[in-house]
Amino acid sequence: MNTAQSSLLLPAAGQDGSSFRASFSAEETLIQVIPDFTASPTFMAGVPATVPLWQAELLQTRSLGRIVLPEWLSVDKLRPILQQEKTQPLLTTSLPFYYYEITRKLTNRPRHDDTNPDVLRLLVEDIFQVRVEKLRQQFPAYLALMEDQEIPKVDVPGIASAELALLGPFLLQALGDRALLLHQKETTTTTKKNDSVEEGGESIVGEPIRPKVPLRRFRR
Amino acid sequence: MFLASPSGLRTKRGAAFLFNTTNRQFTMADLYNLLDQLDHDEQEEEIIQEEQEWEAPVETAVLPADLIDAQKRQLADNDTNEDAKEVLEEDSPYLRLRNVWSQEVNAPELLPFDEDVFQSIIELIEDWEQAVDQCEDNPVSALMASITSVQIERAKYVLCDWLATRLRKMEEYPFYIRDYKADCLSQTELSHIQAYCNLVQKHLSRTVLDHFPQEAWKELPVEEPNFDYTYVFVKCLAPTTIDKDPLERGDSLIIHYSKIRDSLRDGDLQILAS
Repeated sequence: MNTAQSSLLLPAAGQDGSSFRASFSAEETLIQVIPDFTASPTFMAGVPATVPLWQAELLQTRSLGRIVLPEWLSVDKLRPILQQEKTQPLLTTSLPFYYYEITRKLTNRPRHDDTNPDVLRLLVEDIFQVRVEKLRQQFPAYLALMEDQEIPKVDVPGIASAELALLGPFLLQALGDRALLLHQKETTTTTKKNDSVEEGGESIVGEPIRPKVPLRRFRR
Repeated sequence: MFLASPSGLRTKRGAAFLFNTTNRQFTMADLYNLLDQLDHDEQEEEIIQEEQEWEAPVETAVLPADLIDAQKRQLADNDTNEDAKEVLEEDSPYLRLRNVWSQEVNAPELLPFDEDVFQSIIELIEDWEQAVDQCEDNPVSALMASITSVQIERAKYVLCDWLATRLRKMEEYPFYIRDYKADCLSQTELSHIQAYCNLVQKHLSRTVLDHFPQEAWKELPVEEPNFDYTYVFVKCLAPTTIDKDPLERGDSLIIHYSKIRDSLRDGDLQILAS
């Protein structure tokens, strides 16, 4: 394969809104495809075969098969899940880890059967937004849990790849910074800085800063 | 007699006799020739054109190992499970590479180098490349070859990303890793980190350290990575306890990194993202 073609083999970065690695890993999930050809032993024309998603996409783009939507990706299953997400505080665990990426990939093109891909996509987007909002609202609770418990851990059952990519780095950074600040606060001697120093935010260095030159206080 | 024997029909001469394609009168000599031929041609039967239309040729193709695995899985388990990682109990090198890769990408520190995974994935990629080179001319084999070449590209990407992540982590704290964590590296990584440390040391000495007035300042301070403020998302693969708190399989949680280091080494947990 020459290099011009090889760029088409891997998922394009940013194509489905999540990171490249997430969509790469999502493509390894097994999915059913109905091939139009026969290549023993796996592919028999008309018989659903279980292959990784990247193979299924390859066959579909070459018009050699049709992808069967996974059973969780249907209006009947997604509407109750959306209701459940809206009413219950915990995240649902009935969706696969890469549900968002898989949906983005499978609902790109019009389908052979009469399922409407846009409806599915909108449902999954709504589910995603509700879950993200729920997680965001629980952030203060997470911080409180981290502080109080003997074993500082927070349970997040049912979290999926897309929410993790969106909120994960921020949350972990925030927890780390908070731990750093608390640690600093415990170890510093609390000496107030010079009153004439008006500018500057709070310093997180242990020792108070004593200016060598008296700072001017500007009067308006 | 001669018409009753099935082989008589299948030979070209027998068919010509039957369908009289040569348009000439057949003599007894021809009949005897035919009988002689029948006796001799039993071992070599030529399949005539009509015969070929009756039986479709079975197209066998060189299949990549993953497709055979997928078929085994399809036959083995009947209930569909969307989370394929949990269903997949088998130990293909590509799956192990992906697990090692995802852990290395998400973990804050450098994990031990898995030599087995590296060797087995190199061999697997070579096998696949050979299979692609040896593919036959028919379109089915060409399709299988293209699927295998996509598989090769994906495996190469995972391998390169894994090694690049390790390299990035190594170059963050080179001196610390060279001195204390040399057992986590492969041979090539070790030689690289030694050369890298020498270069950094020389560079810093020439630019800064040699110009310091005091002798005590001329040593290079070694930075140690600090994980006091690192939290990670983890998922439980096996029931385990952390600080006497039992965790079941399938739990996801946010936790301080130091607490799960040992469980990570044992393989009970899996880091989801960091």
